Amino acid sequence: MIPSDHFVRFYNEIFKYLRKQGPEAVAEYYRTISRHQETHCLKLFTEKGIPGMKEYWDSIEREENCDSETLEYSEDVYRSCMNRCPSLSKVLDNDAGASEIYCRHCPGWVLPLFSKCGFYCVYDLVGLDIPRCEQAVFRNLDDARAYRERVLRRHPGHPELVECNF
Amino acid sequence: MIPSDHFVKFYAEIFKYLEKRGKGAVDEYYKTIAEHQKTHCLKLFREKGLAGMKEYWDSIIFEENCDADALLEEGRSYTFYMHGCPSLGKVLDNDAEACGIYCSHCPGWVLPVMSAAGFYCVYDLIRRDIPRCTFKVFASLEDARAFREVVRRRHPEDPGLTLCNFD
Amino acid sequence: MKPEEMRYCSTGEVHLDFHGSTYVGLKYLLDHFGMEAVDEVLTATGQKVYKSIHERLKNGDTSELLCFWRYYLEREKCDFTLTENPDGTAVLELRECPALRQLAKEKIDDRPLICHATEKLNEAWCGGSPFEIAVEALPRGCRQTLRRKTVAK
Repeated sequence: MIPSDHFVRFYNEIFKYLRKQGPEAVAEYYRTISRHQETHCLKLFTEKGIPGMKEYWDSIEREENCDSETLEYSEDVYRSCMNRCPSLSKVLDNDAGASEIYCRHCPGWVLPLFSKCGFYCVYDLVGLDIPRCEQAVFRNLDDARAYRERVLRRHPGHPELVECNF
Repeated sequence: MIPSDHFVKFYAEIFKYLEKRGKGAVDEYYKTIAEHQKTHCLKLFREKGLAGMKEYWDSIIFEENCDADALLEEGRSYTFYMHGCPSLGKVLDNDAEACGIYCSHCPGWVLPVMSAAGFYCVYDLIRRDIPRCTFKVFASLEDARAFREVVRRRHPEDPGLTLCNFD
Repeated sequence: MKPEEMRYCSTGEVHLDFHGSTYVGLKYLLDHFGMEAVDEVLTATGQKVYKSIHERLKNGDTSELLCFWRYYLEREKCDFTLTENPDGTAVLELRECPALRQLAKEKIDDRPLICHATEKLNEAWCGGSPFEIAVEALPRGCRQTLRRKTVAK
């Protein structure tokens, strides 16, 4: 049995395998994960919007032992910072080594889900080998676009560290 | 003339020079910078506490074009998130070679000023080669100690990335 | 072995939804690439991620595997009994599998794939070692017998 606590190390092996099969195999897996995650949060996000997202991620923060902080929270904006991601931290503390694309699975499933709810999201992946990232969700597309420009300026020459669903 | 905008590139050269002369030389410079910085913010921090820190750094965020967030939990803590440090950003965009200790100058002056003001501060340098960091200031030593453990867990391989002004 | 001596000792809260995510991963591999892919990933998990358990078993040492079973099944509040014998063999009677329990909450009914994953992981751990793990199904779980391989005469 793979304990819940060790899921991420198994997950990491899946990403290594899929990466060898090609980008579409990885992309299709993200879509599959996203559909599964919809069962946990789509209704909540659709019905309650940003407060629903905070409710969901507050419980995740507790259950997954995240070291994270809310930077901005209102009916229109929800920005948070993951200071120590327990997921990538475990994958890095791993005799099998980390998949280079591990971090991308989060925006991989989160962004399509936000699109379904009608929200705009910008991810700052910070660095693919450090367990930190920032997520920003906006009700308003113009605000999201402006924020994306702010985040792109943090990564001159590395726009791949910024992901969004618009 | 070195324009204000390019001060930090000159600053980096000072640190490179002092680093070659040893830790004592660098520490002495931090103390000198801290004494100078006290003229800008110590009175404000002593009189207005955490709210004074927000006031000070809000103006710095504006004037120095920082990509930052500042969170005030009245009476308990002040948190500063630097997402895009203009200082290290400019030092990295620089034809002269990088300075490995550049990031340390901020806690180098901030921590003594916090001590003088009677507050407890924990710095998370994140990494010395990317222009991000965060620091949190507490009114309570107990809260600061607990938070320091949180930050240490972020850096199991490099305890030098966690700095503070208390035991 | 004490839990803190294990290569990976998780603490704090438990996020049981990860059993659902494990299933989604297994099913994805099966549907798109077949059972070979499932087995390849599980073998890598068993022998590379859990290198410590695997290496110990190869050296005749079951202590980390037994500690792993006890610690994580307790963390996930499972109904189980683990009987350890002086020679390092053991019987794990898992009356309610935490993975099946969680999947039932998500209305996912695919016991064969979940049980296959357990058997493959066990096989990976025991590969090249003096041990094997025999798995018998129980109504809501299984009995796993860690025993020494019978040497062919």
